[in-house]
Order: sequence, then C-alpha cells, then structure tokens
Amino acid sequence: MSGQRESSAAGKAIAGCQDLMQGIFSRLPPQSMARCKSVSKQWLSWLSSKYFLTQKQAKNLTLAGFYYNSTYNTYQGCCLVPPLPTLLPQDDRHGTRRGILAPLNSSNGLVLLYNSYLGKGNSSFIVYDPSHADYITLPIAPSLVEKPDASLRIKRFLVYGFAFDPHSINPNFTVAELSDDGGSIRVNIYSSITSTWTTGNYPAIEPVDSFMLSGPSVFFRGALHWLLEPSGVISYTIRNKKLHEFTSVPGDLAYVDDEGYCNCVRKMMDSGRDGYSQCKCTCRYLGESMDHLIYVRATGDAEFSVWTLDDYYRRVWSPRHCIVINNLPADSLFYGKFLAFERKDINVIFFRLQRQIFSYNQIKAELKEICSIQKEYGDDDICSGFILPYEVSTIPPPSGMPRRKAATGIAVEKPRNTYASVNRPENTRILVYCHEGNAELARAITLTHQPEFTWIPAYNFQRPFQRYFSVTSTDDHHMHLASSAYNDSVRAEASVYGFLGGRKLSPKFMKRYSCSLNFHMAKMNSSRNILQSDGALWP
Amino acid sequence: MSSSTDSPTLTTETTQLSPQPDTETAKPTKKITLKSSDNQIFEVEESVAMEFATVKSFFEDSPSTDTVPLPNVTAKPLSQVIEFCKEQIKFKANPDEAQKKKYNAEFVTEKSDKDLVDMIPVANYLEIKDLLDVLNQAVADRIENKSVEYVRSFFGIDNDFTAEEEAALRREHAWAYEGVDED
Repeated sequence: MSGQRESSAAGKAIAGCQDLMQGIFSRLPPQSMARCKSVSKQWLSWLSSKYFLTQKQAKNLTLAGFYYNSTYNTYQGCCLVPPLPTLLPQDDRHGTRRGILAPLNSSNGLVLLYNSYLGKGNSSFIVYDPSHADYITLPIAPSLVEKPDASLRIKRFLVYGFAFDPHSINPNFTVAELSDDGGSIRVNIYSSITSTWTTGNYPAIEPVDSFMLSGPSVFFRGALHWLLEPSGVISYTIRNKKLHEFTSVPGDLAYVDDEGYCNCVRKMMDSGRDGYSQCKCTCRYLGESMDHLIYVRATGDAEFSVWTLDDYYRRVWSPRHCIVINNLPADSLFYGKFLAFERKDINVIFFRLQRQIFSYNQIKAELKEICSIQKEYGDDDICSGFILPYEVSTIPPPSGMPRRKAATGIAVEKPRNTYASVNRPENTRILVYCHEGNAELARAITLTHQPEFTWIPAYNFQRPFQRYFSVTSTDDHHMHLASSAYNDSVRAEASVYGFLGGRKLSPKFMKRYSCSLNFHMAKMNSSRNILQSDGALWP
Repeated sequence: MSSSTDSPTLTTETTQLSPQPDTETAKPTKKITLKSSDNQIFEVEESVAMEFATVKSFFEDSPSTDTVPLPNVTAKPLSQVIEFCKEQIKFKANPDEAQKKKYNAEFVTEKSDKDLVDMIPVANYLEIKDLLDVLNQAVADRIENKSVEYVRSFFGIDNDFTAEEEAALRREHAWAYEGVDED
C-alpha cells in the first residue's frame, strides 16, 4: 500500500531524530517507555541515556521533604512535605492525641499511613493523597485480626509495602504486609482493584530462623522491594504474586561479620549505643533512581557505597562505587542514614546524621544542612528514628482515587465494613468523614453549625466545604461516632459534646449535639437529616 | 480494542490555496505568502504567520520580503498547521481554556496517524510550541498501550535486534509487557 509506505517515510524521519522523539518519549508512561527500548538499537540507547533519564525522573517526581517521628505517636515533616491529616481524637483532659498515625511508605505521591487508636482495637491502614487532602481507610488488614496462637509467638519482622501506579489505564494501588510465619513468609496483599485483602504463604529464605526484611518498600518495575538482612534485596511481583531474592550483591557481605551483624550494629554495640537500633542494621538504603534499583550501605565513617542493579532479570548488581563525604561535621555515617537521591541532579544525595538532614553534592563536594529535626522520639544519642522521604508527583492521582473498578466478568462483593472518623484540623472546624472500606463509596460529611446543624453529603472527598462552627478552645469536648450499614444504606451518627472549661467530667455538665444520617448508596443521596441538641454548647 | 490506524485522511483541503480574505474580518489585513517545498502558495494573515517563530524571525531579518520559502515543508501538513494556528489566534483574542482544549483534542483525533506524524517536523521547524505539545501528546497516546511491533510499524522502523537480544530485553522488562492492547 502506498499510504503505508508514505507513513513510514514520514515516521522514519521523526523516529531517527532524538530531539523530536524526546518530546514523545517524555509523555509515555514507564511501561510504554520500557517497551520502546525494544523497538530499535537507536531508541534503546536514547532511552537508556543519562540525559534522558534525568529529564524524565526530574519531570515526574520532586523530593518535597521528609516525615519523621516527633513524639511517640505523632509525625512531623520538614522542608515542604504536606501536613498529614489530623485523624486522631484528642484526649479529653490533656489535649494529647490518643493513638498513632504514622507514615509507613509513599509511592508516586500517595502516602500509606498506619492509624491506631490505642486501646480501641480498630487500627487501620489509610491511603492519603496530599494533593487533594483525601484519604481512604482500608478494610481491616488480616494481620490486625489474626489471633495470636497459643504460644503467642512474636513476629520477627513485619514490613509494609505500598505501590501506587498512576500510569495504568485504571490507576490503582497495592498495600502489602510481609511477616515471618514460622517456617515461611506470610504475605497479605490489598489491591484497590478488588478492594480485598488476599493472603499467601511463601517459603522462608536462608537462614530460615534468622532472616529478616526491613522497609520501607520500593516500587519499581511492577514489583515491591525490601531490604533483606543482613545483605541483599527481596522483591514481590504484584502481577504474578512471586517472591524473588536479589541476594548476590558483590562485596556487600564484607561489611557483615561472622555473627551476621552489620558493621553499623557492631559499632553501636561496641560503643554501647545499641539500645534503640535493637541490633538491626540501620545504615542501608534501598531506592530507585535513573530507572535502576539502587542499594546503599555505609562502608566507612564518611563513606557510602552504592550498588546499581544493572540486569534486573538476571539480578546482577554492578560493583560498588563509593561516595566519600568531605567535611563531615562529626560522628560517623554508621550512625547515620542514607535517605534519598535528588531527582533533578543525580550527584546530590540526602542523608541524616544526628539531628540534621544533609544534602551532599558529589561533584562539588558540597555539604549542606537541609533541616534539623527539632524534636524526635527515640534515643537521644543515636537519632536513628524512621524518616520517610516524600516525593511530589507531577501526575496527581485522579480525584476520588482510587476508584473501585470491578474486574471484567467478576462481580466484586461490596465490602460491608464502614468506618467513621474525625478530622479536627483546628479548633474552629470539625469535619466528620464516614466512609466504606473502599473509595468509590467514600463520603465526606461536614458537620456544620451555622446556620443550622446539618450533614452535607459529598460524593467525593474533593469537594471543599468552608462552612464550619466555632468551638472555643477552652471547651473540652468529645466526639462520638458510629456507623453501620444495612443493605444499601449507611447510617452514620455523630455526637459532639463537651464540658465547659474547668468543670469535672460529669454528665451533668454535659451539653450535647448529635445528628445522624442515613445514606442510600444506590441512590447516592441522603434520605434523612436528623438534628437534635440538648444544650447550647456553642453560643 | 484497536484504534484507528492509517485510515485515509478525512480532513478537508479547503484551507489549502485559499487566498480569499476572511469574510468576518472586513478590514484588510496584511497578508504573508508562504511557499511550500512542493511549490504551493499559501497566503495567510500576518498574525497567523507570526505564530510561526521561524517565519517571524525571517521577517525580522528581512522585512522587505513578501514570500517566505519553506523548503522543508510540504503543502498538506502546512495547510493543517495553518488551520490549527488560525484557531489558536481566535483563542488568543477570546481566551476560553475549555474550548481551546476541546478544539485541540478534536484537531488531533480526526487526523490520521500519517497526518500527525507529518505535522511534527513542520511544527518543530516552524517552532510552534503549542502545536508540537499537542502533537507529541497525541502520538504518545496512540502508541502508549501498543506492542513493540505496532510502534515499529507506526514509525516505519526496522527491527535491528537479533532474536536473542530482543528476548533478553523483553525478559529484563517483563513487567512492561502486561496489559498491552491488541494492535
């Protein structure tokens, strides 16, 4: 056909011009880009070039800052990380928050949080989208309902994994929990496509009675990756549910002693500073940069060693290369932690040492303090608490992400777990969210006082409501929430009650507002507003 | 689902060789003559021609000329590029992002693969950034979920890998070969 030939002639001109192709390549999702490497040798060389990869990764992700553990149950951010949602109810008397809301992982702009109300037993995972300030609560994870067996075996490790794939046609996320389970590895996986948890068991890794995984996970090429103690990496392929080991890191075992302790652990034990680390290696890092998996460990007081996974299929690591940090102020990198690579300039790395987070430019030998961690929970001396880098994605998750989409031909049973949670960002506003265990049925409800107490159902979390009611800060107040689901409707109830400042906690002084909502899911509307109050708490 | 491939072009050829002034704008505007590599003459309003950075700088260098030769550009893609720029001028006068988006989307969806591919070097040569962005995105969308073979035939590229090399690349990127559309 002449038309076909003509097209080839015109196409060839573009396909052979790196400048023109750059514009097209940079708009392709990673999977397509990887396939394009197989088109021709020329394309393979362009798509593997340092120039192209730097451009591509700098375009997609920007390091915003770091989350760190500031008190035993709260996390703060430094630099420009978006604030975490305030989901924990406050203790009545002291204004302290009960429970833990901890960032565990981030992936392509979404953050996985672990939310635990102390003593209430309703811990859950929350996937938080800082770009829309949305979140969804996942159904109770299997690990949280597992009953301890008679011997009450303590797990040697429990790591979390989180993968958000914004590039697929149906953007979806996966949450994973891996733990040791006697002679095997227990893997619990939540998929936003099916909205369910599934569980699998995998053979343990040698040495069976002491191997350990550590997080956070790294999502790369459709698989989650964790560090394996004392050396190497393990991967879980989301699509075909397979575990692989990437253990042969050349020269890595030189930094592990006969007893299986990493140099950093040995150093800490020798200096008597091993209290916090509990004999776990903290000097290693697993990440992804320039379309490669990257493995880092501290190999000297002022030296990091870096390995790159050159051949992912054969699991071949390149020989290490060293980053020697000049002018290190004090202490040793064995007590520090490698944190991240800069996306825009691969010569810049980030690490923490004591209470500071530094950046280091390898070319300019330039060490800069990025921020200092004001208050941190944990050992004062070591400062090796968990720090999570957060990268902003230029591909924001679709609003109301992730939507549940039934797999074709398979009817997905609606989960019947409903949750209600409270968000109190400040003393002037109370937001009540009531949602089912999956996002498509998620509802944001704002409790308002002016002009009257009403529930406003919203069909997605994105719709902002600016109306609020005032709560004076001297008031000590409570909020109770309950929700339940019958067939196709959700009933959510909330009551807000409080005590005037200084009074004793006694029902006598209690003023209460409460309201409830019946929400009909099939009709997507609220069928009833009930308002009742038995006192004037708010003037 | 397979999307449109090299279907015969459906675009109108009306913009080509249309020296008539725009009837809506009554006042006479300065016209600039563009000459394609296949010796077709296009008379366009100055404002449209100034959208082409290459033409603009040509005029800045030699203001007295009235015909700009475009030796790298054939008539058909040029007519389509002019059509696009005419619309963009209207949006410049009356900014309406939603309409502009809609027009841009329609502009590329109705084009054949060949038309798109033909326009890219033209947009690049004439330095029309907006159009280049739209075209690059459109091509990326068309090849995004396609197989390697499809992409090769889309651009007319010959496979220069040996079977072993190709198999090795496929294994290395096995994750990328899931969920590929049928060609």
